[in-house]
Amino acid sequence: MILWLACATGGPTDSDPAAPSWATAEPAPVVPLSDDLLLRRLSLDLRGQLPSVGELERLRADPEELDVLLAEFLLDPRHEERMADMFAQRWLTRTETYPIKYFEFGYEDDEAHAWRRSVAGEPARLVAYVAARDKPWDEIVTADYTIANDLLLESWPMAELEGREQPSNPEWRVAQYTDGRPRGGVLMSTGLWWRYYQAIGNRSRGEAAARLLACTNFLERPIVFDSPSTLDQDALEDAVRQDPACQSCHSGLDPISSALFGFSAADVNSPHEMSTYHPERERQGVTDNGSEPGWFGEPIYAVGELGPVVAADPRFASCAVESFTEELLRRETELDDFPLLQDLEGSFEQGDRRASALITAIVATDEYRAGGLLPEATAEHEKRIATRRLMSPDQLADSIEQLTGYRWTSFGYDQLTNDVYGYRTLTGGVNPTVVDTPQVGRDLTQGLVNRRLAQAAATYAVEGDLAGAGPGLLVHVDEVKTPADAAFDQELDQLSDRLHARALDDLSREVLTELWWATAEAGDPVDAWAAVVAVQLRDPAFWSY
Amino acid sequence: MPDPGAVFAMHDYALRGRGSDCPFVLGPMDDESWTGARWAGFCTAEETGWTYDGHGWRWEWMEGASTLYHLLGIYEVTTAEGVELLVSGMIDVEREPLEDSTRWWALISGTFQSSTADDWTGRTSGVFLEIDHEEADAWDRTTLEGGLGYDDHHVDLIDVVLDSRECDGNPTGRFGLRAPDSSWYDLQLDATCDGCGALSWSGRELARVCPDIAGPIDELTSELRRL
Repeated sequence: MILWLACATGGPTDSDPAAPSWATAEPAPVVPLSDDLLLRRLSLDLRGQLPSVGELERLRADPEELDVLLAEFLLDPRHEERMADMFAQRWLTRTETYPIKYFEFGYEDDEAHAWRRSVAGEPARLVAYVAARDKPWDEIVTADYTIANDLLLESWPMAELEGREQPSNPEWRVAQYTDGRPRGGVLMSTGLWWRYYQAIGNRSRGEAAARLLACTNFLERPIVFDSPSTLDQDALEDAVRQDPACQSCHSGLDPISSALFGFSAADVNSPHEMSTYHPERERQGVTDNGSEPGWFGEPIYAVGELGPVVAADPRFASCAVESFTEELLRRETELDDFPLLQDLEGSFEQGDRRASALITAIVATDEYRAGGLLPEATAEHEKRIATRRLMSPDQLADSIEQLTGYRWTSFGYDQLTNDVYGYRTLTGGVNPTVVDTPQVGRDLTQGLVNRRLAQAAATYAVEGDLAGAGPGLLVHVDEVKTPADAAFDQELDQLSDRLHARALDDLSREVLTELWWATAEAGDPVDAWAAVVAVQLRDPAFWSY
Repeated sequence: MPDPGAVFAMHDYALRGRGSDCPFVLGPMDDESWTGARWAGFCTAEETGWTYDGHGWRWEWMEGASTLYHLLGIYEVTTAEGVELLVSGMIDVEREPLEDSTRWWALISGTFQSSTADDWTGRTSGVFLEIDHEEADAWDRTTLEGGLGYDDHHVDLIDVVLDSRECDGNPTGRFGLRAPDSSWYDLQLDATCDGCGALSWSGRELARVCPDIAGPIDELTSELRRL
């Protein structure tokens, strides 16, 4: 929306002597991250996991390897998973309150979480598939396919598509709906429209489409008017159609809502009605909300035109740039970011609207690579520039599993990725219906969850490793080695490298050694190593990056 | 054309396979004035082998001189012979006697399918249609608004009116027919009452045509009268 606003007002050029301050990008007053920590940030942002010791060693041997490693990360199978997590969070699709329940498709309670995750995963995984395969971004709204797993293939009218390049996660496959819905990528996604299911006039779907694909948030527009009674539906509809204050939003919103009426269900609690596309209702919006289908002034005569029209809208490319930038810089963009976003959009367009070109441009910015601020940085810089980022619950869960083999689950629920029987929000994540913005800084609940997670994961890994059947987190010590052995220090160094991508300082070494002795005296070496590992997993150097 | 009566009949048929404890069926309470029954079940009736999955409710009541018929259901019923009945939506019908005429109004919304029926429930994929029909000795008038899927075709009706007093029963209004690529052909009938109009595709005018749709309309109104 920022770019659009600036374009609409005829944004000045660099050579314009009357150019306002936002017309040129000011260099960010930042201290860059060390190469090791930059690699760690890149790995977590692009793969959701920590870099391996081997990757760190490659970079240390040759700093030019950074670009090679970046390219490898973008091709890594985990990149697609990370993109799915990123867009599921951004688009707030991972809800636990769908109008349709798992048992209505014959699933048991212990399958509920997996089923909900599958529904939520559909639109995000389609976006991730396009991003990770480096397909033109337009495909997210024009694809003739979607991405589905067994649960979705059983639940919805769809079938696998043979002969297509498959997603990196073997549980997911390229699929196609069989109910006659037109092609349209996420615009034709049942998963997305279950999340944003119909309100009066289908407007919740129109609002979501505009917000997610054009970064135009109708709900943030200020309006002033004499409100009719919201209990009087007719009066409300009259106001929506005639009151200038209402029309300032609804003239744009309602045509989009009308274009999505094929998803309108006679009863939102009916599995069949909600799972099936309804071509016969495509034009019901004309009657229900009084608007012909359209997209920001562009008429839509066939729903199949919607995707191409969206893709041709300048807001669509700008929104892609805004979305990736905000996710990777971990902050909302503002009017001051206009030159930055303009530069990035140039890179995106030059790269044929492929995600890799955009991501590569974003992670090359000084702000992305910031590890600290220079003395001349202002309070505004301090507020805006994220020199450290909190791991998202997904990143935390995946990194812990990568290191320790431990996944925190209970009753079939991943404890870090839901709020029904888990701690997603308490760990800093979003809950689409309650918390729509990820946590930026640490707080008490995040600390408590981290503590329990660290203790459980450390114990799991250490018990396994010292018994000779673990994940390989401890590689130098056994049950009889103590700090008196050289292997002890080697282990501490190795752990610091893998967990924090930095060398262990003397004070930390001393403290960890004391902790080991104290715990071993009260218990045994397994307890001692579990304590040492847990402390390092609780260290901000681990859960931030 | 979808006649609501076919769904009411299908709904009644679905309960023929009920057993002693499947599905659970409940009529009106003592202080309720409607007639009919509601049921719910996720079960197989031991006596008949019919399976029930969901819930349904049909009821009728009087409001002044009007009779109202209502059907609401989200269910699939499978008979012992494998006939599948799907009801997923609601139907409202009101019959109102006026001074010199009778008015039928119906709203059909949802998916209503029978795997073996030879009426429209055997051929429809979905419907959202409002029907307003008024009939006197010397005239009748029908208004149609909505859409329906039928034999892989999808049609859209906007303010379609058939009035024997004004156009000799010839229709006015807009008819849409969806092409497989999701574009729509539209026929906007003239106000000249000759049953002809402009055919357009995706907003572009193609030709002037004169279709015959009186047959399906007669069929529909006669079905409404049967209720």
